[in-house]
Amino acid sequence: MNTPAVVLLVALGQLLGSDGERTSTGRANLGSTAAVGGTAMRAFELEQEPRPAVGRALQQVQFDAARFDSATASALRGILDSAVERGLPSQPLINTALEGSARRVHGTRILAAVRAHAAALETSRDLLGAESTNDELNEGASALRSGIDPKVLVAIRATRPAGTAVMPLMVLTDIVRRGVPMATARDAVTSIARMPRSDDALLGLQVTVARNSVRGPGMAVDALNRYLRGTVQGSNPPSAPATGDRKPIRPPSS
Amino acid sequence: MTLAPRSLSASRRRSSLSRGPAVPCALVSLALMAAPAAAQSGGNAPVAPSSVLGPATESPTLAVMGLAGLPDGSGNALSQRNALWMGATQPIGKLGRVRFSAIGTGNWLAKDAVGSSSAVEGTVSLRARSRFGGSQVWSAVSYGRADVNGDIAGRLLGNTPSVIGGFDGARADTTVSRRIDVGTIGRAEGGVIRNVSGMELSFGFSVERATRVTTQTLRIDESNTSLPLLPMADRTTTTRTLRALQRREIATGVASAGFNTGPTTWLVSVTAPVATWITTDALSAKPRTSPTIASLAVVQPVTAWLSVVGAASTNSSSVGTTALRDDIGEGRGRNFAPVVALGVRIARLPFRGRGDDTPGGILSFETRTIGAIDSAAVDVTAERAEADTLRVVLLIDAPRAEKVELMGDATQWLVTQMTRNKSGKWRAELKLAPGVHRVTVRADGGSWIAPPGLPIGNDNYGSPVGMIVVKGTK
Repeated sequence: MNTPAVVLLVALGQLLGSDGERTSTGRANLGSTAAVGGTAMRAFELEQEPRPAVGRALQQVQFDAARFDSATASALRGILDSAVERGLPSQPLINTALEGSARRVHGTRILAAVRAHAAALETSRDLLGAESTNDELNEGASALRSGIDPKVLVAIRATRPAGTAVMPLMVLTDIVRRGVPMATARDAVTSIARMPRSDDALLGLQVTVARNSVRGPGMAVDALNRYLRGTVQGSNPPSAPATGDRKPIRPPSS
Repeated sequence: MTLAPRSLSASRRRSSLSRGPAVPCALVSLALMAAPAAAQSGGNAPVAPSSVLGPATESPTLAVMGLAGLPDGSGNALSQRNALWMGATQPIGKLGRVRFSAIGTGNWLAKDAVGSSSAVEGTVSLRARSRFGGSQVWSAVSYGRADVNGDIAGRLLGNTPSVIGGFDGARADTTVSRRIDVGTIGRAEGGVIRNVSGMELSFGFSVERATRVTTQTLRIDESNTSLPLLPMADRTTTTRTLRALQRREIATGVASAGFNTGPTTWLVSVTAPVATWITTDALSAKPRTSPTIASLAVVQPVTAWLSVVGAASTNSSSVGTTALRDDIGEGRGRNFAPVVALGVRIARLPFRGRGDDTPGGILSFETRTIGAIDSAAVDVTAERAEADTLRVVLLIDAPRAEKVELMGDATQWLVTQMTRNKSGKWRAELKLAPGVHRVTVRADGGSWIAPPGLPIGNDNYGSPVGMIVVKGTK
């Protein structure tokens, strides 16, 4: 890590920290780019401050209304203003609306998606806590909308303090979408998330499951269990083979 | 007695009557599915304007379509036929920036109800395609051949010889006992395709020559006496073979618009003749000129490899074994003879990627199949783009794609073109703040997908997005 650079960036980050609508702010730690086990994805380490989701000064949300028809834009403004009044981050909602516009979805469907996401954001805040960052709330909302049990979010929060649960939530959502049973996914993610500096390990779990899920949910779960045994000390997932010398017929990809 | 005038008369008479059975029926290869390639080779049928959009996909593809009871555009109800059309595409390779595909189509016209003839047609095409700037340029050469071989429907159409010893025993009767049509077609075409706001617009031009050689065996039954109404007069039966040639050169323009609504692909096209040159010999009727034809086609993916195809056209003359039709009789000028078709398409289409095993889709029908996005990579340069953002590079491995686009949080959900770098990967540079960013990509105007390898995020609108994490650590 380049310490002088970090000091400079910390100062920059403090100067920039007043933008309440930014997804998150932080200071780049450019020397610690981490490649994740063979995957193409990398996570870039940047120090980040948790941002309270409530207590922001109310202001009219700015968004590109020209990308919507007038009725949709008007309704969207109402939803966004209401969300801000309730202390919810507006940027995820704007992004949801813009995504719908980009996909040329009808206005009613855009509004339905934005309303659903706003409701999920509020539930997410209730479950994860008011001190959660916007990214955490957004990932929690995505998890809820993907059908993940609200109790799982509480379990995730219990493993990580405010501001650090983004990766567990994202990986949880991903592997559940890829066919891993929710209880199995919850146990795996919470087991790894409790470990210190385990975001890279979580990304490795996501990659392992993703690679093997194309061969079926069973292979994804098998890969998950093997990854868990190799990552978490003393882990003995319920679906692990009874004997250690049993070899899989189709070993999962590394 | 002079035989020639009778023969000519017989030929004319037969030509008029044969419009029914001879007419090819249409199989909806339509200017859509098989369009270009298929149609137009002509047996006893005409040279329909070539439709410029050919089944030039990037993936091996097989399509089968069938129609029953199709009109041929002549207005003759007896000319309705059943047909089966098949088309296949096989990419050949790449030479420099030019990609080549081989296209083969075949059309089998079942025997109709009033005759015993059937028609078989085949066309092969070599198609080249390349990209220049924001447009695609393509060109194709085709050769087709069609044969109609069999008895004609004359017997059931009142063309049978008079009963020997009948009331008009002195009159000669002429019967076409057999008719063989062999049609060939050669075509060169080219055009440009451009994507405008998600809609693929195509303009093309083609020049083709169709030739039809008709061989008819005439059976002439005449009395040997000049005395009329002599019941027991001797009669002589002779046969003659007549060969007639029709040729037509035609220049055709085609405009089309293709777009997707979700996984469904639509193509609307208009084919219009620009100029026509016709050559016939003395015994042939002139071929009919081709009308302007509008068509609509829809492809609905069912599984990763199977799609249902529906097509409709305002005139069937561009479909199936349509070749040179005689421009005689009351069917002239009948430009509106709608046809519809239903079929399936089997294609080894690229998959969207892991975790989303749905077909990549087809854009603009046969104009192309979208390239597959095989993998994605996220990289970063060791520099900040601005005070609080990093310069993040997204690399997409989609070697078969000709265009890859990206949109997401970082682009305000505006479509951004990716550029191909020297290694052949598609590259986009993003300035991302720390946090989680959603991104989605598509190749060749296909469906938006989550870049393979990235975690899957929400799917507010039925299509998941990929997540790029600029991680925050405490």
